[in-house]
Amino acid sequence: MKINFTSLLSTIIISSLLGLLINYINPKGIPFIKEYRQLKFIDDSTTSYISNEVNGSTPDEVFDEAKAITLKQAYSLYNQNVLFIDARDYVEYEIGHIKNAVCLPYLDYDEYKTILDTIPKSTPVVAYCDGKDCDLSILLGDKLFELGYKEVYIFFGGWMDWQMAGYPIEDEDE
Amino acid sequence: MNNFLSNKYLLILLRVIVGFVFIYAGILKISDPAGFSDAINNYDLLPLSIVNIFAITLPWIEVVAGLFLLFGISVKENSLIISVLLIVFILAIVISLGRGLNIECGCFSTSSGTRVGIIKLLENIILLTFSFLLTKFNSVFLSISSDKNSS
Repeated sequence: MKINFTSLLSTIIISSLLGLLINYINPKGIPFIKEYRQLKFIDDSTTSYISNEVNGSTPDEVFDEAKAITLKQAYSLYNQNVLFIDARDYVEYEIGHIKNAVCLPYLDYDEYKTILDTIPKSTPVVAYCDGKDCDLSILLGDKLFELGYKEVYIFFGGWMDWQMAGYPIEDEDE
Repeated sequence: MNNFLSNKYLLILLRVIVGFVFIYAGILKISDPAGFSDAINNYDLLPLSIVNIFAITLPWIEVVAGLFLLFGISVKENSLIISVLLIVFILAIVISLGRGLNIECGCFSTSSGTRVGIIKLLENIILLTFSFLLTKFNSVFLSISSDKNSS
């Protein structure tokens, strides 16, 4: 098994340089050092703002991106009848979900997106998925914000934290 | 068994399969560099500072190695590169499964929705077997490379 290391290294070096060059001229190119999609949490002092918003008054802060919320804040929004959107797949949703949440699986987005036709862009929404090891809530939250939803929350603790806290759910036994 | 495995028709079939899979996977990643960078980051295995370097260069290594394989240029070397990549992918999948991560695989396009799982692991193991056979036996049949003395 004679290996020509010059040829092996050439492939790696040529393709890496090609990648760097194309990335440099590509309008969709990315920076060399990744900037983390830092989830910004709403601080508790703005919880009252959330209530104002739900009641339909003018928001005193314009969201520049989807904002993350803690379990406590999620529960507070739930009690204000804010719409929860489950980003997991349909089977997981059927097994159990946050009470009154609607199902919009991020990975089957095209199949389920019609549900958004019934949700005005001014409606505050909370995206969630399984929990801390799941990225669907962030992906869906960002997508909803891009689509024009003005007040998007990401409940990163998700289904796991909600269940653990014993908050209202609907499951397949019901 | 070795006679069967070193059959030139079998080897060129493996070359075409592995070559096409890597060209396809690489092109999809190249078309969405930001998505691929997020996909790598979700594995939580690399420091943030080098995630993008991988996201920029790795898909091109896949495409170039895949093309060389397809055309029979330095088959041993390029299949070795692909084998190393596959071993890295397999380790990443195993570690993620062990940690119970429910993340997108990022193997092909970043919006294909394929999650990290056992099937993905098996696909990679099969490709690794093919790629290893190419490194071991070489394949010069229908090759545009002039180096035909190492089979």
